[in-house]
Amino acid sequence: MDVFGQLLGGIAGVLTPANLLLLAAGVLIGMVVGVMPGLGPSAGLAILLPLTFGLDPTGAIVMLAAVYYGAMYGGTITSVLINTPGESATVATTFDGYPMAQQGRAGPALVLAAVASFVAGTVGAILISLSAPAVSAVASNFGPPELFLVVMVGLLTLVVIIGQNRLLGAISALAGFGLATVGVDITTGTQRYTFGAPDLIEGIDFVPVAIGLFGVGEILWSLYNGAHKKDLGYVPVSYRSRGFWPTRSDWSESRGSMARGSVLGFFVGAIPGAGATVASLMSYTVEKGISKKPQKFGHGAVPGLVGPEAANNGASAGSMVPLLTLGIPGSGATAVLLGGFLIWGLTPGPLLMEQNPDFAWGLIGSMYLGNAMLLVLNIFCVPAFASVARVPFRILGPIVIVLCVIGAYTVNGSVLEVGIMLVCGVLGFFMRRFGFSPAALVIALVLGPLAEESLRQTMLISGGSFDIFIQRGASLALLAFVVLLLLLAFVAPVMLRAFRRRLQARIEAREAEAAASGDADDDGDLQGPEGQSKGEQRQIDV
Amino acid sequence: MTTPEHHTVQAAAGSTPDAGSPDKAGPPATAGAATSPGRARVLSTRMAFLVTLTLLAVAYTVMAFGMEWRDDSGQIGPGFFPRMVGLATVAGCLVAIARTAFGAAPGPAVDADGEPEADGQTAGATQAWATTVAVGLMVLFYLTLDPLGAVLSSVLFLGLMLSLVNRRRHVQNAIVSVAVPVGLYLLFEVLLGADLPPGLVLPL
Repeated sequence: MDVFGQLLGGIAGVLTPANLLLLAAGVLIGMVVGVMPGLGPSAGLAILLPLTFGLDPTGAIVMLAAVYYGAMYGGTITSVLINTPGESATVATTFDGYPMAQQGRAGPALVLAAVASFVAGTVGAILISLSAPAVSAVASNFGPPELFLVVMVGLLTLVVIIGQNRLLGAISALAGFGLATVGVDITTGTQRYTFGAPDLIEGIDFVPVAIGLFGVGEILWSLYNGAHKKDLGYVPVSYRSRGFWPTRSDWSESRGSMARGSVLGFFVGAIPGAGATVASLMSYTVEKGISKKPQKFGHGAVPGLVGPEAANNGASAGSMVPLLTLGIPGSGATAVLLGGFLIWGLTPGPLLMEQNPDFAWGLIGSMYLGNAMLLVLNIFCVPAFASVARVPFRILGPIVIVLCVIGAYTVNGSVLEVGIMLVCGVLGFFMRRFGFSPAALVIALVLGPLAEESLRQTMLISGGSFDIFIQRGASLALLAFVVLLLLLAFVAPVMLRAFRRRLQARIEAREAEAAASGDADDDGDLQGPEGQSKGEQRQIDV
Repeated sequence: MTTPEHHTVQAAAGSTPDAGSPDKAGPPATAGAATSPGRARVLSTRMAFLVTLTLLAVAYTVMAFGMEWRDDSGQIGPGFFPRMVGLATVAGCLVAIARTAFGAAPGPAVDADGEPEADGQTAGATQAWATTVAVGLMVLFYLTLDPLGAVLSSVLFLGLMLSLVNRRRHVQNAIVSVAVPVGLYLLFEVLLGADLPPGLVLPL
């Protein structure tokens, strides 16, 4: 019960009029950013981070947590109304959300999605309260070798999940480490890669880099894809429209999906590097797999909407566990949050919950309140936010670039940093074009100093020997996990190909057998498990 | 291409889903649906990007080798980490170049959260042209930020950019070009107390 007491204390600590105002403003601004085409939580947080510099740390974190959830939900609105997910975590929402909107059920879709997000946020807050102190207690025994390996685990997971582009993901992370080495080396005082520029002595700030990669890069990418020439099909939503509220059967269909999505999302999100997209897609697969009416999926099935929606919000809550307890961000958005923590002098890690319990529990509390605020605002303001989704990209895109420039300037009042931001914007465009990972770069940039410092300390402890990584129990376990990830990355695809070959051979043998028996009806029987597997295999090959 | 089944099966298989919006998703390059000239163009620009990255990584590594990797007391010096990062980056870039040169198709793009998304390589010359002009206008914005100040340079940028992407809507463009910079000035400078570049023309 102690942890729940702390959670309640955290919520109570955040419940000041000023913080509630910031919470409301954060959710509103986040939703506005989230409904802009191409801009997700990462871009929203990066662009809006400078807005919080004038606030106290608690107020700033409250606002950023609200922006995070608001932006996540903004992506849901565009997924349902214009079939365009603001970011990949809400892709699964389009599968059944947009068909519901086309059937005149945009209102129920958006209300159910908001409730699913709220339920997932509630479950997430409870699970964080239970798991974060436990993880923190384990992690408090970590020394430099373990910290270094935890950084590697986080980045490797991200790179492995990227899939086909693992090499490019790894190069992106290495580029982030490279950028992190710019500036004065803290231990020796040596200047590295500063080229005599005083603005670079303190290193490259991650904020302009994140704004450039996530904000300007996204806008250029959308421009390149001709978003300014598209008139998106918009499904209107209004309180006055008939059937704005979900029906009783909608609620009864949703309950199980929300619960499953919330828990699944939390645990997937808690794995450093695994993101909300994976969680939401997994939830969609699970819901379809256990549904008695799988044929309805893709045609407006309520569980196909609420499951992924709960999962992506659950994953957002889950990602806070490695962020708060280990200082490891699992996604671009949490990397920006981590950068924000560092700006305010707070270092997430095993000691955060011990040394700054007010802050840690305040953050968890504000996340929960952010969800509650989201639910209230969504239900009362959906039509207003939906109208933002109607503003075309050709107007929003240029405005976002101006916001990025001004936001980058306000970080340190440096025009050079605006230049860095714009260069990173162009870099972000090319990274997206060729399959690199901007998120891996930003995460590595944020974690670079920690990785270098912990490696240095490790080498200092061991007298320059790498044996230390296998001599300590915790680091050996982490090393085993790294090996497992590498096996997953390199051996799993080989095994999958072998499995496909065997499956293909079995299908061909069955077909040959059926043809030989001369029974034409057997063809129909092949649409059973084997036939289905063949279909799946074809899709995997694409 | 973007049916629910397609996304979910790929995700479950740990493969790369082309998880973009149906509106955005074009035929993936990996499917070989792109025309040959288009594919060649993608490959050559990809190669140019990789070569540029490699050259930067080589320069970074050479400079890293100019730093001490071990200091006088025998402890790790400032060059140790950059050397490791530089060598690994160069090696990674060379493998990527080799893969591209020997026929590996360009992979799909990755979204801001590091997750795979639609390739979008269907963009034609017009979009590439618009993107290039936008980058040029951004450079102009950067160069005028100090002398003109935040408000005037924003008005200039928005006016030019909107006339490029929001054609023939002059009144709307004019209103947005003036209202947004003024609104941002009020938000940042007046409400939040953040200093914006004042410029030499107007005290804004």
